[in-house]
This record gives sequence, structure tokens and C-alpha cells, in this order.
Amino acid sequence: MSGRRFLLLFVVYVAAGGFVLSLPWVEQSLVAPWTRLNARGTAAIARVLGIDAEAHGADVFYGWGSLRIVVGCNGVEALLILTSAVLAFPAPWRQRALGVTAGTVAILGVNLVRLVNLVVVAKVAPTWLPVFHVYVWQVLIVLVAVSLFLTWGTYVARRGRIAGA
Amino acid sequence: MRHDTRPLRAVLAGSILTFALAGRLAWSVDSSSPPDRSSFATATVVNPTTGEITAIPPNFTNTGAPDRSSFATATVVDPVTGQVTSTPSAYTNTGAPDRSSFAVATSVDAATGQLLSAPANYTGTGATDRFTFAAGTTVTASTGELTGPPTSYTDTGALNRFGAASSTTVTAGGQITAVPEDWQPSTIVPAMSTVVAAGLALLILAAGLWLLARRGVTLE
Repeated sequence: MSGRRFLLLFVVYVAAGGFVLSLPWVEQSLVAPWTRLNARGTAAIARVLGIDAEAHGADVFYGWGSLRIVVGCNGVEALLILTSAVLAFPAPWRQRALGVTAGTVAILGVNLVRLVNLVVVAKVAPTWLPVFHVYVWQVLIVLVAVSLFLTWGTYVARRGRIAGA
Repeated sequence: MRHDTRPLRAVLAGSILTFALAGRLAWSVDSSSPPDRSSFATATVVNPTTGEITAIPPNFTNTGAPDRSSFATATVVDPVTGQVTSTPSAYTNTGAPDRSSFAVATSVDAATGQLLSAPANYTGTGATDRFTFAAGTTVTASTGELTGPPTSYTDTGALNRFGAASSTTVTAGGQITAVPEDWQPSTIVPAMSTVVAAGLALLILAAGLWLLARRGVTLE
């Protein structure tokens, strides 16, 4: 086992996953419904927070404004990258499954928090929306994904379960 | 035993450079003037004689509506009957596949501004009660002000359309002069740009190589 194998597998998994996600059938049957579910979840949580929000398709309306959740904003891209790294890492398959499961829950959960936060920001301080949208949340998503991978990888390494080490 | 850390450093440097590029690209976008619908509206002029839209903002770059300008310039309204007589046949906005069908079947009373008819069988998904909204909307012919949007309009998918319509005014010359100042344009919220995603991939790759290097696994 060498680091080169990890590198190559990571690239292959990211490319293959990206290709599969771009297939029209997958996009329409899985990604788009997931995106709409994100919109409904976002609106439901926003209503709990006292914002008169409604989801309609992939749009979340709040008063006189709206957010459109497009395919790329459902957390799937970050999840693909994290999952590819976990699967390519030389760990027992049980540990990889644990990493993928925990990563999926964490990334999708954080992304839902992100969407709700953006609705709140758009509603109460719309001039700050670009800052939160472009800078704050992109950085946070990156930090969460890398932290998850480092935590999981350190856990696997401490248990001495890196294959080929 | 000392391992060669150059590949790890190279990947890490690539990640940092990619994030720097993403930051530069984000900074270069003028966030002070978002691609708002209100700017588009106020810069649009309609010929009151022919009903043809004669001017739209040339630099309109709303990514959420890439072909809205094409749609607008190819749309013609009969100034006598108020009926939309022509829309671009090749308009393929996937977000509103039958918007053109809806438009050509809609007529407006030129004297009172009231919408007289809308397609009864309009079944565009995502706009099930647009017909109700259209039929209940009135426009003051002399001032162009929308005076009567349906008060009971409850389309959850267009909460802000109602507000926007009731606060929009059009001069007799066809120019839109006022739109609601606090009307928020629809914002598209991707989780991350492609450049940031590439930076994340490189950073995670560097993290993996670092973890492996700690265990004595290198690229050799």
C-alpha cells in the first residue's frame, strides 16, 4: 500500500461520483427530489424560528424574497469529496462505512443549518446575504468536511487499522 | 526514517492557491449590485404604441434568468386588445416550460387594464393558481399602476410576486418607474463554487497524505 494508491483512488472516486451524479436519470430521480426536500426542510425550520417561509419546489419564499436551492447547493458536492476520500483511505471497510455514514449525516445536517441561516439572514439583514453565502458558509463547509476527515482518519490511525502501514 | 514530504507540500500549496483564487473571484464580483430583478425592470421600456419591448438593460447578467432578456425582446403585446401576440417560439426556460403558452392566451382590457382572460386549462406545475392571480389583477390604464391584485391570493409559491406586483408602477410611456424597494430578488444558493470544491478536494487529499505519512506510508 502506498499513498499513491490513495491519491489515485480518490481521483477516480471523485470523477466517477461526479459522472454518476450528472446522469439525467440520477439527477431527476435522486438529486432533484433531495434538493426539493432540502427546500421543504428549510422552510419548516424557518417557520419554527418565526419566519413566514414556504417551500415551493426548490424555492424557499419568505415574505418578499426567495432563495432558490439549485442542484449544487444541497451538500452533495462536499459529500462526494468527503466520501471519496474516506473510501480511498486504506482502512477496514467497516471503518469506511462508519466514516461515510457519519460524514453523510454531518454534511447534510450542516448544509440544512446553512440554508436555514441564509433564509434568516436574507430576511432580517439582506445586505449581509452575499457575505454569508459566498464567504462564511463556503469556509465553514470546507472546515467541517476537512475536520470530519481528519477526525475519522486519526481515529482509524490510532486503532492501528491503516492497511499497509 | 525521514520521508519525502514534497508531494504533501505540493498538494497543500495547490489547495491554498485554489482557495486564494476562489477568494479573488468572489471578491471581483460586485456584490453591491446583485443581479436584481428591480434593476432589470426599471431599465425596461415598452413602446406604448406597438406594445413591443424596446429597451432592456444590456448588461443584465442575472444568472437565475439567463434568457429572460431574450424572452422580453421577442414578446409583443397588442396595444389595442392587450393580448400578447408573439413570444419567442424557441424559448426553452426549463423553469417555466409553458410560460409562452400562458402568455399568448392571456388578454387584457386596454381601457380598464383588467385581465379579461387567461388560459383556463393552464396546468403549469409550480404555478397552479397563476390563472386565479392573473384574472384578479387590474391595472390603472392612465397611470399604469397595479391597483387590484387579488387580496385572497395565497399561492405559497409566489408570496413575493403579489407584493412586487402591487408596488410596481408603469408610466403611460411604458417605462417602469417604481418597484418595491425592499423586494428581494430570488437568490440562488449553491453550497460552494467549483473552485472552492476543487480547493476542498485538494485540502482533503493533503489531509489524507498527512495522515498516511504519520503512519510511514508515502507516495513511493
